[in-house]
Amino acid sequence: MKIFRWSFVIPTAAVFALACVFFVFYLDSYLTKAFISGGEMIFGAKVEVESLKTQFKSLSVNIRGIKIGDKDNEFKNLADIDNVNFGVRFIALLSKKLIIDDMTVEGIKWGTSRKDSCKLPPKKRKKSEPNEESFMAKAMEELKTKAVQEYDDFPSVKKLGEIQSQIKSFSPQSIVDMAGIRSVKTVQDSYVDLMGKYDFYNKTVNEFDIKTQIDKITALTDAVLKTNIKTASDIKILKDNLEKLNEEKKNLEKTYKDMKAVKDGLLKDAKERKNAFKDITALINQDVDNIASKLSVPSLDFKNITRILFGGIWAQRAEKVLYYMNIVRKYLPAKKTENANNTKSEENPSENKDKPQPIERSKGSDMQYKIKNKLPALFIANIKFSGTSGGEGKEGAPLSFIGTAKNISSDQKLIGQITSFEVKADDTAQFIAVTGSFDRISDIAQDIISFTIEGMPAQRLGIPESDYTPSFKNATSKISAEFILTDGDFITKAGISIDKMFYDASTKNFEGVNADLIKYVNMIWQGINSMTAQAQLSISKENGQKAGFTSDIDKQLGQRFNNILNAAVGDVKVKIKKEVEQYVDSQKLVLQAEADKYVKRIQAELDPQLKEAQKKIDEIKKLVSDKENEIKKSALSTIFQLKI
Amino acid sequence: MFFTLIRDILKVLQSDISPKQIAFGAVLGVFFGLVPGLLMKCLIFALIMILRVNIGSAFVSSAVFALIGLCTDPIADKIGYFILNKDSLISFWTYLYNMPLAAFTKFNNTIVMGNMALSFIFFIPVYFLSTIILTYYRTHLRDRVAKWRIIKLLTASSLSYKILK
Repeated sequence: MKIFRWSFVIPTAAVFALACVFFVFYLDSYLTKAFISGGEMIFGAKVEVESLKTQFKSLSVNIRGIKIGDKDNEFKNLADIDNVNFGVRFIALLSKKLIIDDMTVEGIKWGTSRKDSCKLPPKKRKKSEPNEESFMAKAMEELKTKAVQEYDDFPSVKKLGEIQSQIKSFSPQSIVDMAGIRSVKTVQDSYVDLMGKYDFYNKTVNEFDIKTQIDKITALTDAVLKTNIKTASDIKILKDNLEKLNEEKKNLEKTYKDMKAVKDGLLKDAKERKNAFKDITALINQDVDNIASKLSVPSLDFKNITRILFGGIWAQRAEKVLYYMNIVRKYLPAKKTENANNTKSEENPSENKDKPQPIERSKGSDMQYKIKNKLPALFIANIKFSGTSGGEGKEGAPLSFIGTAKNISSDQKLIGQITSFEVKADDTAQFIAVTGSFDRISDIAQDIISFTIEGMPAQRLGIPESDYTPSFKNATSKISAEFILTDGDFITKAGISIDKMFYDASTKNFEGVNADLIKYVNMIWQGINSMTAQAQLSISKENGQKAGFTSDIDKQLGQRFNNILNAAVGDVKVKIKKEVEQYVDSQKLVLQAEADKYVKRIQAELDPQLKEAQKKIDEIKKLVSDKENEIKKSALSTIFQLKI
Repeated sequence: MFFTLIRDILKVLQSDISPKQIAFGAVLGVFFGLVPGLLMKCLIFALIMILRVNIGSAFVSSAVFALIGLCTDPIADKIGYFILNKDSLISFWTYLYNMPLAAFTKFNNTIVMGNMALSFIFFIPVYFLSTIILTYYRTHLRDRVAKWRIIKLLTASSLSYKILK
């Protein structure tokens, strides 16, 4: 008896054979299409493949000429790969699992130019935007806008020009007029005080009635002179007149004293006035300082220079890294804690875990057993890759690099290894090392990418150049940076050092710019040929976005700028002093002239009176003395005559 | 469809096909009717088609046992649970569970496993019962039934019979 129904087996085998033939001839083109559409979905730009060949025998795939467009630059390729080779495990493939033990990727290039645009039609492109509305995407958008506003226009450097024009157009006269300076006021106050005193002296002098006194004295003197002692009664009359004359003399002496006091006061005030003018010089200096302090000297935060030079670049780089980290997150998502616990329990079964766990279904229950060596849906154990930094449309000597990527998996917990990669490039001039890890084993997903670059031409950094900043054409740079994305918080740190930068004003376009400004800019950068800068950027849901830049040149440039400003302000001070001194001197001259005139007038009135009073006093003294002697003689002769 | 099925049954009964072929067809039909799951059904279907068993009897049997299966599912669930949780078998099931393709058969489902067990239980009774019935029919009833006009009408076209044979 025949066991098999050949009438069924043969046609079925024929159909199966036809299906195999179909796959052999058409599978490659279908896979190519799937590869391209998948790539376009991930990168948001055109993906091209030169050829894709599969080999059933060894279950290997060979892809040649992969070009992935840059969504931000339609005529550039994000990546350009010559050759990709890998083999898949057959048994795992039957379980819809793509397991690749070894993969080689050769001829990796990036940023190469392309002849046609890599833009996708709008609908396709929209699909490709990862987390368009996410917090991180919004934060990065804000950061980019801020960078454009803050760093692109060099406002702080241009401010130098504003400062200079402000100093040049500065008018000390206008400041003197406005300020109401103390020195001039003091001169004026002094003048008012002095004139008040002079008025008092004048009034006092006018109150002296010296003529009446002298007339009285003259009358008494005449009476005394006319009196001849003949009798005893004459003596009495003379004595009385002499007493009156002495009385008047005392009055005149008092008046004389008062007049003398006025004169002494005048002399004393003149002396004090000179001393007051000595103080004026100190006051003028104080006034100049006060006026200079009122001068609105602009301050220039030289932290801005670091931001200007590196802010934009840093924001762009951070944005790009974050974009790719988000792509990694999208296609290498973190497992939820519940799943993690389940998986853990699968991996580390306790005593009861050998027992199957029922999951109730509509029809019966599915028993689950311990999974041994369960594989994830995608697992690439090891990738070796190589490439070059050169390529079509790129300048400079290309740098070759090699690297490895390990444990690319759709479920790291199943394989117990985190995804990591390492790239190294080294030639005599440059050294580049990039490492990365994408941890989905821990409860909180963490992605870290760090790189070190030494000896790279600084020009490649794309540092913006202006007429006010040095040239980086021959400069070399050393960069070390770390990008960390922990859960939803993004932190980056970078240290940048640049050597051989040079500022040469002759190579800059300073047409129509003030010569002083050119001089000052030159002075600021003179001798600064190297610099280091540190950049920090963090974006978190709790604290928002924070960016910080520090540099060793900040302080240096700030100091130099302040020195220039101080020198400029010093010039202005000299102008102010000259102006104030001129004004004060003119005020002093007016005051002195007025005061001298007043003093002269008072003295002209006072001196003759003093002389006359002195003369009269002397005369009275002599007369009184003579007459008293005469009285004494008369009295003696009368006594002798009585004795005789 | 139903009419065609009846016609095929009658043709099988009236034909000279070996009772063993028909009995084996019926046995495989038991599996086909009772065991749920697409992959399992595909495998059993392939067996029915590849092996020289009677297809008609297989489909008749599967239709009958599909109806029986609706009633036996609660029992199958308990039997399946018992088998799948049997300590001595757990290591075997675990091994099977870790095999790449085995999981697609849904063998770890209590209904599938229970119905599979029931199918094995029904294997011998169905085989012998169908052989006995067929032998009895052919000996005592076939000639009488062959004279019926309806039978003549139904068996007039022998094309399908030839294919199914």
